[in-house]
Amino acid sequence: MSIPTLKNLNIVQTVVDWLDERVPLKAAVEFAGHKEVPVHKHSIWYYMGGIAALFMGIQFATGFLLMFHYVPTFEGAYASVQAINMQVPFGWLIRSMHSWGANVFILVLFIHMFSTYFMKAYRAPREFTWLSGLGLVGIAMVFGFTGYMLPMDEIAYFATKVGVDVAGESPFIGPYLAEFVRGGSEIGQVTMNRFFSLHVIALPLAMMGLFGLHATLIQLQGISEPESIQKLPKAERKYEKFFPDFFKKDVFVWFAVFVAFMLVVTMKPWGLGPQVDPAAMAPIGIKPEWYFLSQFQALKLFPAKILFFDGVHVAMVFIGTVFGSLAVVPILDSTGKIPFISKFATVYGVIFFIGWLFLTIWGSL
Amino acid sequence: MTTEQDSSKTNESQNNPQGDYNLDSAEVSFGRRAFFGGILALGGGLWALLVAGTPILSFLWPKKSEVVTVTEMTFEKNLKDFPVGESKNFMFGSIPALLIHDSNGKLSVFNAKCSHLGCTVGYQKDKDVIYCACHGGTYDPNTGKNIAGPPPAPLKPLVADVAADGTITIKIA
Ligand code: HEM
Ligand code: FES
Repeated sequence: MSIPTLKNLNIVQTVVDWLDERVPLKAAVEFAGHKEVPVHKHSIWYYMGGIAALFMGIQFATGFLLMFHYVPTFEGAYASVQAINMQVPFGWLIRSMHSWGANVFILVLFIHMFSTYFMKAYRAPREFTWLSGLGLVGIAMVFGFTGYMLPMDEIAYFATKVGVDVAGESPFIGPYLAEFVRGGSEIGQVTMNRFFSLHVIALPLAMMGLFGLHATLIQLQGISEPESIQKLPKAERKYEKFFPDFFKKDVFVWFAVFVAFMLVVTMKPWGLGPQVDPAAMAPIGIKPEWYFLSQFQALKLFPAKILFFDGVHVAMVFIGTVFGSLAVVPILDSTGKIPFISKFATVYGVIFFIGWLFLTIWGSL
Repeated sequence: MTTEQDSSKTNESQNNPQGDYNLDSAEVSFGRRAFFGGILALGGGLWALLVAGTPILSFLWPKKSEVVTVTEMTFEKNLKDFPVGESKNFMFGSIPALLIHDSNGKLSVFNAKCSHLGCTVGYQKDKDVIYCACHGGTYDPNTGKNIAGPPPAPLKPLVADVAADGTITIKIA
């Protein structure tokens, strides 16, 4: 570093140089510039991961803020959320962002998951990118489930009750699992402690760790191209630098999505149902959040008895197998060299997607 | 340690014309070393899991909840104020219960926990059924028998006794 004289004093440059000697900034920027993003007609899907990351940030920030006013007790939670909604300045806004954000986050994750599946971005060497992404979707759904209980209105109570009882129907470990999750035989303060500490400590750490792995792998391996683009002659394939070219567009997309998001958040602030009364009948029309609707609808469709098995047990094994297959089918197709398996993975994905969409829509009716 | 071994290995193979043999034996001893290393790592891992896992799991395991068992309680309303077609969800100790003055003029009372996945059921007067909103299970209001939807078993019955003055007493069956 040259000592600045009055003549060549350039404050920004000096600060940057000083920093760069201590933190390898330029190396990092250069590294980010090495990654190239393919430019083609399916490029729009490349923005989904970035949007998901934006919503993860929104959830972390608003969740942290909510904790300043939220009271995690079985008796006091409802009143505290009511106060957040009605008394705390802009409490309604933060809560609305967190509640809407949870839904949009999961929606974007689903879109991201299906789009990478159909572009076959899970193929070698990106198997761990796929599996870590799948883990992130799972964690986000547990986030949604544990968070949904926290306001302790009627729907929160019954959604939790049924959700845990469903887990309790898993073969063999079910009853122990349900008891463990509830912290007893009924939902109460112990359950609340468990859900709260998962929601605000364990899940955020797990999510950050897994996201770190996911993002690092992507940065190291670069972005994959769908087969149709790989087949094109070299001259017809276009690329741009991730940093700064693609990143600039990323920021623009974030901005646009955020503005649209804030419109919904403020025009349709998230509501709060009546306080739970454990004696009361489950409210007519009770439903889980939309991202659990496909499982919910499937549970409804299974009859009470199938041969000599309980319908719910069969349903649980079925649902578990179908979702578990998302970790298996892409791995089978990881080389992409076996045409039969490649075809199968595509067809399987289409059937999965249509089935999931159909059950979700049916469940919402 | 490794470097020492490595250098001794090279020395030996340099000095010995039959270097192949020595290399082989070096590999064998390396294999044995890796084997014992593996056993040690596995054992250590299991030990750590046990030592860390036992207190953590025990800490988290729910303690036996003291179940508040009620065997009998007086219902909040007199029969005079509870005409045919009336129904009420209430707590019987720690369990939700449902009392119905059914179409036969009889009082039926049940543990209101749905036999499917444990939602709380309620009486639907217009259809004269007990209904579970969670997955649409229905039960007969007179007998508690499961008649439609996913519930695999009837509701568990309780007993309602009526005294001469109309006081209703709920008891376990
Ligand atoms: C560090 C991260 C997070 C923290 C500290 C946090 C904290 C909180 C707190 C204190 C509440 C209770 C207040 C309320 O109910 O309005 C809550 C509710 C909730 N959280 Fe989070 N959260 C985090 C991340 C997430 C994520 C990633 C999701 C979803 C994917 C999520 C979904 C929910 C949902 C659905 C609710 C219920 C909202 C409602 O109806 O009021 N949270 N969260
Ligand atoms: S819990 Fe009652 S029908 Fe499923």
